Amino acid sequence: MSKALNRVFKRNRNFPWQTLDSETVIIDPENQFSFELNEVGSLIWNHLDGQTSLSKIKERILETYDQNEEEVEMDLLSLVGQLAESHLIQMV
Amino acid sequence: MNKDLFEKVRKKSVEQAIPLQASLELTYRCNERCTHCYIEKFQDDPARILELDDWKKILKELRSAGTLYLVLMGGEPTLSSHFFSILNYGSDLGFYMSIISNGLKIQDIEYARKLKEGGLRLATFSLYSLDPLIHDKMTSVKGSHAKLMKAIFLCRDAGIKVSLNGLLTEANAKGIFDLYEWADTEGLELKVDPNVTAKLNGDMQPTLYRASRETLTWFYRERAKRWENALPTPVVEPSNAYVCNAAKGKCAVNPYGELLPCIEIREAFGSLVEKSFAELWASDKAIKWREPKIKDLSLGEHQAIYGFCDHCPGMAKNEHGKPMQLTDYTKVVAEVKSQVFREFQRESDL
Repeated sequence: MSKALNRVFKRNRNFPWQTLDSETVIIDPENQFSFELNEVGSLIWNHLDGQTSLSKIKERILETYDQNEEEVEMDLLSLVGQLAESHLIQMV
Repeated sequence: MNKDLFEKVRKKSVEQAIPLQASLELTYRCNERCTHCYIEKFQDDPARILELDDWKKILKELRSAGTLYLVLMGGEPTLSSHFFSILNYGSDLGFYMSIISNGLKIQDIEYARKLKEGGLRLATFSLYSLDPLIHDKMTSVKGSHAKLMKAIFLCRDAGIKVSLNGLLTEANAKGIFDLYEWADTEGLELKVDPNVTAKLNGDMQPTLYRASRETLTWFYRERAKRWENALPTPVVEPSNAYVCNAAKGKCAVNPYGELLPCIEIREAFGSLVEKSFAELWASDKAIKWREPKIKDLSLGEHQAIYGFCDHCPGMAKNEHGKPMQLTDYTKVVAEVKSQVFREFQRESDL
């Protein structure tokens, strides 16, 4: 398991968001921009609460969806990387 | 939010009755006495006013119901002792937080920064005129204009988006285009609307301030001359389209925790302190306000100008007790818009 999975992130409160019908909309009020996450992305986003580690989130995904563990890990780290780069989340 | 995504989310909220926007009246108290205001008594019943924990429960339930946009209003929301706690709590939950305020309490940069740090994204202020005498007369508070102007710039300096509501009445019509020009120069969005509503108890006194037919005609003509896209144009909708978004994409909560279809319709579904949001949202009363379609309206001879009507069932209920019947003033505004539209069409045909 990648060491990165021990990390814990939390959502940046400067970006309002909501999950509707398993899809998540995140608003960047400063730049009048918005992001959209699909069902799996929404599951990840909803668990980025400053308490749940990425490994726990990976477990949740594997419990919910029938997917290959390695692919899940790669996709999870990739999405978290993008979210962090856009300052939508920060490491705790 | 980018337009396509916003439209997708908005459509989903209407189709599935997800209250994307909730307006929270934190208090009926106010430090202004606007001549045209719809609130009957600017005081709260201390036995019924909500505690902070009640508001927190309501916010959590709205979050689960799908609300994204929270509008804190009143009365004057900043007068609520829970104002900053609710602002912070709402931001932590992920809501887009906004206020509708008169700005009187926002008089130093520390206060404005506290709003920003609390997560405030948008402050909407009611500015009636650039002339302090006219604005102050409408708010019945001397010096309110100067304080509001200060609040506008303090909020902007603190990084909060500011927008303006400018009601059109007989008292401020003359200077309304100066206000438009100033707002444009300052890069502030200004919405001007002639709909002065009756008081919540049906008292028609505020409607005495409404702009006359002549003033409305002058206003819509002049606005269309200045900005091409400001010409009133008919909105064509199928007869099975909903009359409005009440109890579907939006809802409201009064200072006592009662859930309403929207700010204008004052028929409560019940108490959010005693019952869950889900239960009240699925109640017969909610369904009753959710269902009205254009074909259910009693339009009579006004069928042809319905496309120009800003019919609000709540305003109509308040004014003459019949939510599905246009008010006389709605008809006047629609007739004027239709007339101006035809005038400009004729001119462009020549």
